[in-house]
Amino acid sequence: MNLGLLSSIMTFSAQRSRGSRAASVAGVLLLSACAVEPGGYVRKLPTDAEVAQYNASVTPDERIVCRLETPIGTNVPRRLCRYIRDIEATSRFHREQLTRVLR
Amino acid sequence: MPTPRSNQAAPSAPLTRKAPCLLILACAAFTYSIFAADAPNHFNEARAQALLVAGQAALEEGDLSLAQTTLDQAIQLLKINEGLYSTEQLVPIEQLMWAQMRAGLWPQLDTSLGYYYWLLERIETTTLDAQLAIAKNMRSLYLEAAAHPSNPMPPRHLSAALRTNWQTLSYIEATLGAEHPALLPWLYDGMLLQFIESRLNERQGLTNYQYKTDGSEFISGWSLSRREAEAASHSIGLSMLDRIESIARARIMTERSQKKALVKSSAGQNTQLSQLNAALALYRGDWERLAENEGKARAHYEEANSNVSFRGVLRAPELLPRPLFETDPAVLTIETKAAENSVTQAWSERFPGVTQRIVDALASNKQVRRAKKAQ
Repeated sequence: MNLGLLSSIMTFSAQRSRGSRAASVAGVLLLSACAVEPGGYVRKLPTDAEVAQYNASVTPDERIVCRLETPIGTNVPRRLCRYIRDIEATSRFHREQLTRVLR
Repeated sequence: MPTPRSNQAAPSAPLTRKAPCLLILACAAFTYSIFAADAPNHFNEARAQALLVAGQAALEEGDLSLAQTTLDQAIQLLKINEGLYSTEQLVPIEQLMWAQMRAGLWPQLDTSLGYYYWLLERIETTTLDAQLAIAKNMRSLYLEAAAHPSNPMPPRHLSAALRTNWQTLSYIEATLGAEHPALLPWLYDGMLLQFIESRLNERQGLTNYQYKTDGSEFISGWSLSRREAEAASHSIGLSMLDRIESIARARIMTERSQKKALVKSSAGQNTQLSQLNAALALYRGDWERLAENEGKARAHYEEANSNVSFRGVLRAPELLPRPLFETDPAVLTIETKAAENSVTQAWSERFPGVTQRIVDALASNKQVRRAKKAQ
């Protein structure tokens, strides 16, 4: 008998990390959906519901967030999707750079 | 041919060695005959059941300490009698977790949750219905935990309730298909959970738990702003209604194509479609009204009013969201009026605007039963 649901609920008490290959693939697919194709065509981005459903089935390491961001050089906000770990890493890098410059 | 060693008769022991053995056996038999009547059998199956019933009764009466002691004993007995991986343990562990949660014993609850999930991973046979019942129970447990006044981390448990609902949806999609009517109650519940989430005071912490951890550790740093979290929550509610529409419409169309072969007239299906459209417009209007988008709400309500029978359905904000998804205007009218006439009981100070009625609806099986009937 498949116990997929019961084992997936495990993520709440997951002190262990469960590297899921399928989850990574899904994550890459979701992120690649944000890519701008040659010719300026933008592929459909995942909705907030799709993001929430995906995030519920993966480990915190694999979770993504989609939000409106205003890139430098324009006032038009764009919806972008990123891995949380990338946001954290960028933020940490910027903090370190700032500390280095101010020192 | 030599006889195999195992088949050979054992050589008889000398009488001097047999005597003490016989004496010990006689003593044992005598002692048993004296004390058997007095001493209870602690490993008796009936005793485990009696403890379970007593524990459940204590839990219902609010005697949490007695409930924990009794249920703990029942679990130990069931482990011994039925085996370490026995399914019989699930019910008392669930009851024990409710008792621990209501008593505000958070570390003990975490231990029980750990054991419960460990056990679930090892259980070999169970049905889809049983799994969905477990998911529903866990979702209710997390919700109640999030509302508990002594809970130091309510966003963590609310986030777990939301995650459980999403995981259940994913599981039903993977097992029965992405357009299966069994998804309907879980989709509508997902919308109700988004409403509950939108009413949580401490939303900053919630986004941390949603994105960065599943555990109990304290986390800080990056999280979505309140405005972003509200926008995402609102958008998710609308997506849930879109999916409900797509599944319900597909079901009506399938029924229509099946009946067309038999009967030419499809007046019944047209009524069903018209009711579905009006009901969805009504629910979308409710959702916009809850998000204080009065203009959009009015537009949806006008669309719902195009079906005359929906004009009498109440739309007062204090009656929203409706506990169930219903397309029959007569049932909708009756249920909303009943809600208007009953006393509105607030659920928790931490979730202003959430009524006990909503939480009870999430815990009940009414919607699941309807979905099954419709299948």
